[in-house]
Amino acid sequence: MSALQEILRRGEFAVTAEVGPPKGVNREVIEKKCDQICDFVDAVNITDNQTAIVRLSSFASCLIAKDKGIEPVMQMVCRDRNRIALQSDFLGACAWGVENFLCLSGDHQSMGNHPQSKNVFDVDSIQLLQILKNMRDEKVFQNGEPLKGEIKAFLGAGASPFADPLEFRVIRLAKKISAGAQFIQTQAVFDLEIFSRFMEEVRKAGLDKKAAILAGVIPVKSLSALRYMQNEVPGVVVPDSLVERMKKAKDPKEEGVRICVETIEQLKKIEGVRGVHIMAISWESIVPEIVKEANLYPRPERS
Amino acid sequence: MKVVALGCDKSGYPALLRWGEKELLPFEEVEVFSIPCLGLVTEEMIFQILENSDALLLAGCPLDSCHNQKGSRGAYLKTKRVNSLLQEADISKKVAIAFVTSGKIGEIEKVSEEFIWREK
Amino acid sequence: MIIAERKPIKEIFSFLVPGEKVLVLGCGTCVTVCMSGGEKEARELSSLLHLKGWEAEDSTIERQCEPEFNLKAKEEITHADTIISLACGVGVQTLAEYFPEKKIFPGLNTTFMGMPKEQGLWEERCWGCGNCTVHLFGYICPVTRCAKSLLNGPCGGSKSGKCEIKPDRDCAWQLIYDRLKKENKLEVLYAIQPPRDWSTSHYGGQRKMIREDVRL
Repeated sequence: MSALQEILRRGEFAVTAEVGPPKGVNREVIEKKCDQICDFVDAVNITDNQTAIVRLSSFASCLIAKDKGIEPVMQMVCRDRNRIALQSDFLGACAWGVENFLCLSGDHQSMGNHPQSKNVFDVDSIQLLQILKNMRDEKVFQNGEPLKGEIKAFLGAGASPFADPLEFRVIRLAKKISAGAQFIQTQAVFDLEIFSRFMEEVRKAGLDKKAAILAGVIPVKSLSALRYMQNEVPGVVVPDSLVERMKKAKDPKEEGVRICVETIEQLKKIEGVRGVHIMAISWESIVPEIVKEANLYPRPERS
Repeated sequence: MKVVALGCDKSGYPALLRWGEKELLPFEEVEVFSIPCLGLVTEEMIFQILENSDALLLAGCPLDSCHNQKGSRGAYLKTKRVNSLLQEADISKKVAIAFVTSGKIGEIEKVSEEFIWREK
Repeated sequence: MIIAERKPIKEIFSFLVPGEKVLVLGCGTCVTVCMSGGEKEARELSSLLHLKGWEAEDSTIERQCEPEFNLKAKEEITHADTIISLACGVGVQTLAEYFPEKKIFPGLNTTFMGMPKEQGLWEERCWGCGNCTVHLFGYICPVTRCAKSLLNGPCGGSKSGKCEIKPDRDCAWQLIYDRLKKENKLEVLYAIQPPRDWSTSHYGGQRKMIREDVRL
């Protein structure tokens, strides 16, 4: 069982973070980020060509992270690979001892740095979850043929509690869990009221008992970054009160960290939230401070 | 420069005639014709005229008081379209449209100045 | 119908050699309806070619995708040095197949199968996946109208009913949700749609349809 799965099983409040691989071959970039956050997280997500920008692959980066003694969560998007490649990469990652997988649709290539490319989307994230679950539990490929060997995998998916249509999001979450998601990492929470209401629906549907929900947070460095979240990033809702706070802040970075920590404190109190996922985009170095200030340090021992 | 001018019976043509009476027209050749309404003008007609002239000047009722309601607007949209095709094809000919009442020729003078500017 | 857009005029001019006799061949079906390659557009292009100094004529036939109609224009086609076909890609290829000795260029960029939403606006509706299941999705095809062809609901990029990739694109899943909600059939969306068989689509290779019962 993966360390992340174990910590959640023990009922501990989990902490995961995100590391973005470099736009090149320098593994030291990943190694340095892993060193910075190693003791402060239970597992780290390695993004998969996020925003459709070509970076060192998630698979390879996960191996680099493992080398550094940190447990990776391999993100797999459906945009660039068909079911053949996805299943193959899953086998490859499992063979190398990667145990956590996050299945996502993936940002459309038009948003990235190779907008002229074709996309794949042979399967969607829910179908991918089913495929990987069946590979692990039924030991079959998507076509029903048997596969050889034991697969150990802790499967996860994303959730967007704030994206439209809002009323459908809990249903979609239910589908992901039914398809095989054992843990969920949500899009960044800034609006605790909406998120609380979402979690109420989640609890009503019994979904919090079926999967571990980790609420996402993003520490912002500036007012413009917060505004960008508010206006440009779909699935992120930022209450005006936070924008006002940032406007008045003497030290925006400090304020950003404080908002993040306060959000985590509130999230800890929401029933059904089993952990937090810190997406410190290009600011991985701030993760230790956030984890400490949120009274989540030291991290529980892994057995 | 040869300019063909086409005006509607109600407003454009009378205005064009007034304009034509002015001695100092800046074009070598101007031919003036009438048409019952500018709404009858088609892109095909415009192109045909331009094959034998350098510019076409359309004169009709103001947009909100076209005698036949939509004639001027129709001609305006077609003029715009033809001009964008001509521009895309790098053809230096042009169509212009002036909205006039029969007495006032100021608009025609203003619009025809565009032809001179283009020629330069 | 098939939607196509006229190529930039300069690109069309670049196909031509000065002094050539050019035939602009329009098509009377889909591209007439989407105002790109019908008789009117063929005439306009022909006029533009005249104004640029080419000897050009235009002709429009019922449909260039059917050989019998192309053969009706045999005389004009033979007479011309170069033909600009204003048909969709199907028409251009059919024409070239039946007049293999002629120089033919496409005057349009064929884009999608769609419908006229309003005057001057055409929207894609069908991608030709070969296995129509629109009835499962409130009659809104997610394969075509969702930028990611998702079959199990919207991604996190749906905002105020619009798709993240372009602000003027509707999120197909919002449309599906709204429609099914209106019809009280939301439970249709609870079921997990399995991975699709894409072999019936273009991904399975060029397609043919054979009807033995009507072959001579």
